[in-house]
Amino acid sequence: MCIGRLAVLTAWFAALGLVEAQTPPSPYAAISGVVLNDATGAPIRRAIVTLSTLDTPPLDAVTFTESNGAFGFTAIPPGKYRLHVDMEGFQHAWFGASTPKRPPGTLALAAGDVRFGITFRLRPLGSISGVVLDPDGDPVPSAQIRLLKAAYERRKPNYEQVGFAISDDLGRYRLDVVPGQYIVMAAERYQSAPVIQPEAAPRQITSEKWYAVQFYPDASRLSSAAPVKLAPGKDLEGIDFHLTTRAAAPLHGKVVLPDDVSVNSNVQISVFQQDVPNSREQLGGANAFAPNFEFEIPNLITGPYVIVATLAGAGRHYRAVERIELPPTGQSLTLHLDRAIDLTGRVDLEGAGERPSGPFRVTLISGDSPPVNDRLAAEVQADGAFTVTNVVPGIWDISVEPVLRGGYIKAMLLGDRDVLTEDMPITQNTRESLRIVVSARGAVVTGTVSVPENVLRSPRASVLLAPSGKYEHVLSFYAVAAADDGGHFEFKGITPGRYKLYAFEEMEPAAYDDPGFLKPFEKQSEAFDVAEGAHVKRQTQLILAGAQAAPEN
Amino acid sequence: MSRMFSIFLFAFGAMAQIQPLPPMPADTELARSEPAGTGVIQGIVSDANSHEPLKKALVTLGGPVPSTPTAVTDASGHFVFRQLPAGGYWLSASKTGYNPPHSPFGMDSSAPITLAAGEEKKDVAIPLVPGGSISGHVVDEEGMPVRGCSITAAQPGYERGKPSLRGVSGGTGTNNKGEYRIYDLPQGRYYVFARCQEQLPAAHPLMPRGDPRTPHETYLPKFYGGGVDPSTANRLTLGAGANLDSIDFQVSRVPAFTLRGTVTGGDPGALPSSLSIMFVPANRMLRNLMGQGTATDFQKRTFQIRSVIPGAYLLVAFGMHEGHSFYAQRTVEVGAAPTEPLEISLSSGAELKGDIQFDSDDRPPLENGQVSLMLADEPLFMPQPHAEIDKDGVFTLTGVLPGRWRLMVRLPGYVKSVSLGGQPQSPDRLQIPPGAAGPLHIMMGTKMAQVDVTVTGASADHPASVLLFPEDLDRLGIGIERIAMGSDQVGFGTIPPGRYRLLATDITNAWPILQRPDLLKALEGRTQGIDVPESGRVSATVEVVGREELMRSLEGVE
Repeated sequence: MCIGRLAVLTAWFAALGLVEAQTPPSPYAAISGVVLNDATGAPIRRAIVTLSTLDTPPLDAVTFTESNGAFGFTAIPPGKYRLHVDMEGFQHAWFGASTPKRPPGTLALAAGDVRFGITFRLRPLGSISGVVLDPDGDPVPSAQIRLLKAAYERRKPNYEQVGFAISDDLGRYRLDVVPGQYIVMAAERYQSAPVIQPEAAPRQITSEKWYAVQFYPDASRLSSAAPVKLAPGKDLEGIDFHLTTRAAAPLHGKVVLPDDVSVNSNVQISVFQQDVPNSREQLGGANAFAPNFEFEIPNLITGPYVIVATLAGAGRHYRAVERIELPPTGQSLTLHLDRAIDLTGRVDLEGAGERPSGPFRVTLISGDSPPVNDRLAAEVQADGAFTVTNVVPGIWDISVEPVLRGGYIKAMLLGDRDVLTEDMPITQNTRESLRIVVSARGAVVTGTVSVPENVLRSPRASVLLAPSGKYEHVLSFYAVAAADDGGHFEFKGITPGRYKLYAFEEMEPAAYDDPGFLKPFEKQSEAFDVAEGAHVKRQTQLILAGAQAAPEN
Repeated sequence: MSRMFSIFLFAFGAMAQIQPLPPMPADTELARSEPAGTGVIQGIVSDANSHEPLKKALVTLGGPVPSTPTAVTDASGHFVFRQLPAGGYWLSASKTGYNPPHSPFGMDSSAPITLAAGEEKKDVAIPLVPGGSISGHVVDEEGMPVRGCSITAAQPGYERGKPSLRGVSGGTGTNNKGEYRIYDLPQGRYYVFARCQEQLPAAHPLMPRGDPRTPHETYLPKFYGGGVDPSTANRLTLGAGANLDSIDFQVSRVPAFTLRGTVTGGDPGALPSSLSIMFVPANRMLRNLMGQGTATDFQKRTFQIRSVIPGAYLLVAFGMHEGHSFYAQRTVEVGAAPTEPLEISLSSGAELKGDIQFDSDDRPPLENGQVSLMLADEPLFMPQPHAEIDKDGVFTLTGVLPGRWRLMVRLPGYVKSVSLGGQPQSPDRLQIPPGAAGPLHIMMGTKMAQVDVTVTGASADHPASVLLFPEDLDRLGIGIERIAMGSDQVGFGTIPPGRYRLLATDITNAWPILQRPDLLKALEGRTQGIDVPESGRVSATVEVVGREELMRSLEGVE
């Protein structure tokens, strides 16, 4: 499959004069190119180049780069393809996307096409490493180190965990990551800190000390941490931690049950660290047993926590959530369990057009932090009615499947309350019914991306359709489409309303989760209205990568 | 912390067997007796190798005290326990990087102390053996670091009397520089094994994604200093607390295949999710190091094994359905080219009827009697059949698969002789051929003698472990361990007649010695033979083999 052979064959035929310097048209296409290190420009050997069709499931062809970074594919049947490159120690790259934040391009190959010079520049990964020490300067083995990246969740600033490592017996750790900006956090939650105390006697109470969570450098709260910046291909060393210790602050308490709960169930108590992002990871827990339902969690140190109590008894679920700031002297807590409710509702279908082949399914996903672990789902009956059982109090997001092609969710009402554009809070007193209207008459927005004059850039952009005005905060109204090589894009199944279009050369997938993201560009885009079932055609200008005011992450 | 406690508890339990301690005050008595005692135990925790004092070691005291007091040593390794009532105590110490797990013969650091009222015991020394480390890096054929390789430090050992390799470390992975480090290792001989288990792509033309025929590659696993064959490997010697650096590997890529196969036989329509497939190297020494993941489709009864390199393997299928077990085993040779889909056919076990008889007229009651078969051979799992014995001494064993088994009967007495289908057999090596039929006649012997052993060379402070085992090494693994304190006699209870040997040593967890025919042979001169008759009482004397001598013999055979 070496590209060289095809060229040689052609040259040979031409040299012999046997063919009039014109090979018979080949039914196949061929491509070739090179893979380079973006930081040094050096060729990368043994990179894995994969050519994929756009079918489901796709067909893949694989080849490797030579020592000069060159690669090639021959005998390619005409069609549309994607091309990507992987290499250990580097970020992977897609054809047509010079950075990972741009949408991948498509290679359209016709019979006889020979495409040369496809260049990939791979960004080298970097690493962050250091050592974790205790107050005496001795290593802390098996410490948990987490890498956090700033992100948005539900339009609120937050962090997500993107890396994890454990320190070895010398307290050392190492994380290999994509270049970027991170908060590094170290904790040792499972072993108490050894404190020198050579004298001991019976009945002597040794107070255990535990390590406090630390954010680099030397911050005890996430809010006072300073991010570390990792440049491409760099090894950032010396990100060290000097952990401090604190005495355990006992947390004990009692759970109050609603009167009708059967007495021989256990209440599960879970503790989450409040200062750690999206903390789905439980720090500790206990059981509160009948009949007193008292509990004790002895090994926490001072700090902010979320305490969750859950109970499943006699077919009904219960939950209680408390946020506390645990003082050094400990705290006593009373948790009142709230009862889950059964949420009834109906789904109505409006407008002619495609009907789904099977029944609808309504799924509720917890919008709380920490979230309720279970997803609750109900199948919608033939008459449109459904009941989701055991919905514990909290914020719930609603999802309706299957998504109708070209359709949209017209309304979601909990009683009179609009829960399509606002959060749906469920309490134990919620009696209202959830009404969902699915309309087949979604709007269509199509258009082209125009490139500013005298600018040589591809109009292949990530196009964002953003609600403008009072529904700017509704995440489900945002849509992203990839414009093709001609700049054409298409959105289907759009909710009627007022919108603005933005075509970004580079955009992170959920960038609009940040409410400030669009502010610098709002004036450049004109708002327009989209009516139900309408087809709106728009032009929008490409927003160049350098134009973005925010620093590159 | 929990590891240390288990050493402590074991030792304490063992001690309770042999010698009555000064009566321990009941908890209520202790609460009433205020003030508590005035005894003191103090000493130093040190590194057993360098003899340097150890800072921040956790020392736990067990004995007639209501809680288990703990101390954490200071910079001079010092600890003091005060206000102690008289009694027998055990001290135990731990520190990260010391007392590595898997230490040969469980060399623990506990020491028994007898404290008189108001006594001050000073200078109690607790040596902790430092753990060692092995480190290095892995590169490929071009000298580029290889990430994500699993590096295992393995020690030669014995499994059911046959040599095997046991992975000691937790399979450390190499980082993106290809570096690795295995720590917390006890001293000893090691083989280091690198397995970069990755399903790597190989060049190929357009093929559907996920097709099992897609060519792929993997790195050839290897031992340090050699190849896949352990006999070519370099054996490293790691001293206590030593650090072996630059144990490096260069790995090369080879084509790997996805093996596909189907499971037939058994009960068609049966075997829901209880179908297990195991694919291991035929070479026993590699079994613990090279497990292979299998993906099984229970509905279609098919399986897939990815990244298989050429070699000899054993394929085992095991399933259960409504109490019946099914099993199959076959060898698979994987060559340089992809193999055709395999087939493995399950068979259920045989039903063996049998009866128990006694060699004397006074038969013990047969209630709660049980006959069971334990695997004597292959380490791969098979169901271990057992059956209740009815009042007439009759039993039926079901699901007995072909192989070598050890017969055990839970009844007073011992198994004197066994015959299967008329053929006499050894109770420890019962050969069950395929298609075996009963009856299984078991003759129990009732005449046994009492055995008492005196140990010389044991000191009052260090207990000795005494092992009694059959002289016939074919009966390997059977034996009894008792703990002797000082020069007191140790009773072994009633022992079936036969020829036995006795071995005494001053390490308290000597049981693993019974699994080592090589070690028992080397120590033959230090063991004492004893003939046990059919009745009466016999006694023997055996001299303690010190720990140093034991370790030397161990090194000598390895």
